[in-house]
Amino acid sequence: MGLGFWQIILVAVAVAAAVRYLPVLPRRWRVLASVAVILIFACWMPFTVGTFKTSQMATVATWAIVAIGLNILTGYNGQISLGHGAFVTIGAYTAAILTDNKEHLGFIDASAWPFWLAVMAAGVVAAAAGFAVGVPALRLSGPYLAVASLGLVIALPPVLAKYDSLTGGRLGIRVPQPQPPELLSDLINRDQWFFFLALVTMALMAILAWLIVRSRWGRAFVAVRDSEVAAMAVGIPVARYKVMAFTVSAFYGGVAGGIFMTTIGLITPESVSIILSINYFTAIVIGGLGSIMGSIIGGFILVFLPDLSTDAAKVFFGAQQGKQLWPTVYGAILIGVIILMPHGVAGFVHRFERFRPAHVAQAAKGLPGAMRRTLQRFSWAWDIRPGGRKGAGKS
Amino acid sequence: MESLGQITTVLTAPTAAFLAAQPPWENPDLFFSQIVAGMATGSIYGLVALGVVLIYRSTDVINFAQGEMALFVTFVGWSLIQADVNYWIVFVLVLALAGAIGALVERTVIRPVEGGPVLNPVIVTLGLFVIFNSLTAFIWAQGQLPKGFPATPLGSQLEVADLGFARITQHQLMVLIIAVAVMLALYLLFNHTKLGLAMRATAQNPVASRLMGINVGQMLMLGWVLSAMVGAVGGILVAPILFLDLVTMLRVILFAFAAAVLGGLDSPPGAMVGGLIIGVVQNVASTYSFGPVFFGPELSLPVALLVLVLILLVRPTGLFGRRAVRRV
Amino acid sequence: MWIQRAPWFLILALASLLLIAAVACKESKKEDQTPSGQTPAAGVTPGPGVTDTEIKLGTTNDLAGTGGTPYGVITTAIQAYFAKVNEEDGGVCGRDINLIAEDDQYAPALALEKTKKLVEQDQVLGIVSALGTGAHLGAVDYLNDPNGDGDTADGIPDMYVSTGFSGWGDYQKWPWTTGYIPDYVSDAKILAQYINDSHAGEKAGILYQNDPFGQDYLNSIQENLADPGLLVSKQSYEPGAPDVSGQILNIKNDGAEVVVLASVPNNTANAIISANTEGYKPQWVESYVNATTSVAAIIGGGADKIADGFALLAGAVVNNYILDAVGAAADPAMVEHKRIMETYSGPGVSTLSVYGQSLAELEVDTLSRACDNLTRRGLQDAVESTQGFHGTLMLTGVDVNLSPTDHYAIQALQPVRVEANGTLTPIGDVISVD
Repeated sequence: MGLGFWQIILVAVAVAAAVRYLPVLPRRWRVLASVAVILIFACWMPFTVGTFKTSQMATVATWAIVAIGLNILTGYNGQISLGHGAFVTIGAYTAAILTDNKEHLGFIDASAWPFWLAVMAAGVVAAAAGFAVGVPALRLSGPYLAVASLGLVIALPPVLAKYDSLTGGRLGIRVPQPQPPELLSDLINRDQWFFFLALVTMALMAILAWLIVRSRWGRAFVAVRDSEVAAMAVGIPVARYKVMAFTVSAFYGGVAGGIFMTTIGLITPESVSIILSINYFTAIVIGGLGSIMGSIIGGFILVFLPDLSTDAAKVFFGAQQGKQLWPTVYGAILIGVIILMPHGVAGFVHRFERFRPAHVAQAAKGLPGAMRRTLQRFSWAWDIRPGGRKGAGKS
Repeated sequence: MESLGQITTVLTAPTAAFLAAQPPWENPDLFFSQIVAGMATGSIYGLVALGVVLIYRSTDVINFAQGEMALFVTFVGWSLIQADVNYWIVFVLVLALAGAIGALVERTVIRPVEGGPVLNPVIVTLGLFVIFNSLTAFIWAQGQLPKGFPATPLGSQLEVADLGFARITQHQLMVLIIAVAVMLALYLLFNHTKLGLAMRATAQNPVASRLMGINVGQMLMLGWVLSAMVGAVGGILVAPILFLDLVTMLRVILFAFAAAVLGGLDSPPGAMVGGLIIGVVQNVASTYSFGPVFFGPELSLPVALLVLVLILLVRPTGLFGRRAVRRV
Repeated sequence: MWIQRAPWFLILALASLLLIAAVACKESKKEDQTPSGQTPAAGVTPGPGVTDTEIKLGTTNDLAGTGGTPYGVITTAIQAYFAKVNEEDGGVCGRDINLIAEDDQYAPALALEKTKKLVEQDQVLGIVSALGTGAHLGAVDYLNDPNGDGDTADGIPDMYVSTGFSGWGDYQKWPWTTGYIPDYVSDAKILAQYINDSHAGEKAGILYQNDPFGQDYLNSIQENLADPGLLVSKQSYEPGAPDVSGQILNIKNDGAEVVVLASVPNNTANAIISANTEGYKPQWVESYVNATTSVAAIIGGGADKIADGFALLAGAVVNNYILDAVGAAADPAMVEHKRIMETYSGPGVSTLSVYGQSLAELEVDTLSRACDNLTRRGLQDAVESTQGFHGTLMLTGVDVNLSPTDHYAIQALQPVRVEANGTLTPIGDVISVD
């Protein structure tokens, strides 16, 4: 087939949306069916779009895992962490140390661990780190927690560089990359194999997250986010759940780090930069807080927005300047999206779901200030008058 | 077992490290010099942190683009200096430009997200960070970087101010003095003027402030204008020391955030104190701890951040921060 | 009418979909292809990226500065020179050179991704001037062994990597990779030779950046000093550290009389100013990454105060291999360089543009020797048979020599002393460590 990459994505999203929203089957079936549609397209895609885009999709899946974990912490539990890159790095180093055919510390021997085991171990070690970070984080909140977590990811590279007998210092650790198994080695190449590894892991982690969120844990997380005092009054052990949220989200980061390291074959102290760590946070807010679909959209944004910005910049500024001005377009897109969709893309889609022409006027009355003001400004377009014009009696 | 030995070393090394390093009293000259050098660097962090505190206190938003906006206007100043414009005129022009940019940013991109979810202004400032960084690179990175920037006519980088027990450059002395002056000005503004009271009220409760007749929009814009101007002052004073480069403000802004948080996000004196602490701890940690396993000069940065975290654990809203009580 | 009630976000959603569709249409013009056979038959059949009218090469760099480096202009300079060759010299091998540049934001993961794109989607003949040690480490294994099967016969020429990391010369591990600028180990060796000759018996100190760049210097100085016991002070700083005055204080306290500065211009200038503040005047020996005019300018506080900077810098010793952008401005080669940059939208003349053009000149020479065999293997053979190439902007006596077992391009440097009036006095002859 000659379809380009973005055409396939558009078709997949359109088909999934159609399956999801056309009132053909009961709702629960439709949700499962739309997820199945997406998975089918995801499995089919590596065979049509070429290895470069496939490896990008693998990165999307990997970052989606980080985003899901960070969403559990920030979206569902309300603790801001700008330093999640540290957990990704810790997980990546753990996996690298376990699979690199060298001896470390006297008790990690030279034989390479199998991929799944190494990734699980990466997640567990990162979760331990998350626990260690989550306990002091109980005392902090808001911008203080944000800056302290940023300090974590800033402080990690020098520590990694110093203990170079364990971590390989500034040059990092190289590992042999897993090849596709013998049975399939004629059917798929290495990049496609990595994509499937990442995809399967992401699917498993997404299901796990869905289960967590729908369970008692998830409800407790949200209760703590909305009002700690009220949660305490209801008998929820707030401290325990806050630390648990950190631990779980760090586990996700560690698993993603293990996969990330495997696809590149190299981990250095600067592999996950400070900017990237902050970008994880940006991605989930733009994707949609408190939403697993939003996290996956966040993964897409992390990987593809720079390229899209470059293409758009070339259109606006010409080929030469565009290559240098793409971050301007990138920043402008970020700002534009967050102004237009304050609850992220997923939030926007959920609002879109509830679109009925007659309901919009009603809904417009209850919207928060920013939306109402923006709606007012454009009300000439649709003739709705939510609560009167020009600030009459609103508060 | 090797690993057991290593674990034991890791646990006992910190004490051993400090005991075995050259004690400060054996070489007081070096000790004081390190402290003063640390304070000189720390005053840079404090000055930039003042802008962070200003914007937080008046708008409840942390502006991640603080450093890049300051860098952008400082580069404009550089271009003006290259065109042989008088230094003080450049100073005033750059401050005015910074104020204008601050007002423009607040009105166009911050205002729409102020009422919504709390994290959205953060995303907007991150977007601004990227935009300003990219514009700076596009306009000024076509030639040789880093670029030099002249110090104030009051004292240059090449002349020394001898304080007796230590020496710093005259320019660094000016930075320290100006930083303290700005800090005092901000402290007086917020705590002893009606305008400052209005700004604080706007940040804490915009709805009630509106009911009291305060023009919330103007107060917010004023907060952004002032913070951009303080940032510009920081940029102009820092550029001769750190030289104009794409990443000049990046490291500084991260330390400035740490300093602001350390001192308390709503306290200008706290920002200065925080900055000084971070600067001094870094210098002291790089000299007075050695260690094959623990600390050592390579870890002076993590040590400084560790100090930050420890202090935050004891005082979760910073050393001088106040707003710890939340109503249920 | 329902359209009157349609919320604004419906309109916006349609607009965004249109934008995505427009971008998708652009994307689809570049069809993804699975990689074609990696080992073209030796002989006349040209390799990937070669048509009758053009030769495609790729490069990765921190183009927009998001990774914090200002080296994007090097790529612009290379493109300007290639444009000149295409316009004025009829291209090379009768074809135009098309350099496709990708932005890797100085991150190894992105460098790998963009390199894959260049190789598999854009089908370039080879990669030239990949920039950044940290970034390129992510891509180098892929270029030498694309499908990871341990067989390096199907690699892609990784020509003239733009970092001085000594590891690029490891021709056994990375047979397709060649360096270009003098590697840091060689520079340190020549600096150590100078110290041995002129400052024997004096205590030495070193301020080094705590990354492969600085560590190369530390190791090489320690190996090559006549008496390593004289290296009494080793102070490191984190890349990007704003202030190194603490480290300079420690070096002064340790009593070093000769100080090696394995640091980038920012920190070098900072170190020299701090030392001046403390009244500490050792013999400065600098890494060649510190272009003297730019360091003097930033010490002084601007290009017009460069004399102040030279006053502090006087006596420092550094190695050079290309003409100084400012000091040699009257040299005919530099005048021609300026003309090329101005005519072909290159960047302003600076150390980086001079570097870019000299690398581009080498690349054009290499391509011209591969005209009969424009395959990846043929190109790499041409690279490895470079002998005695002397670019227009290189110092006299500095040549490029490569062989299948020598993957370091420039290994000759001229030690110079900086004078108080800004001139550079050569110390002895060009030293070659080939």
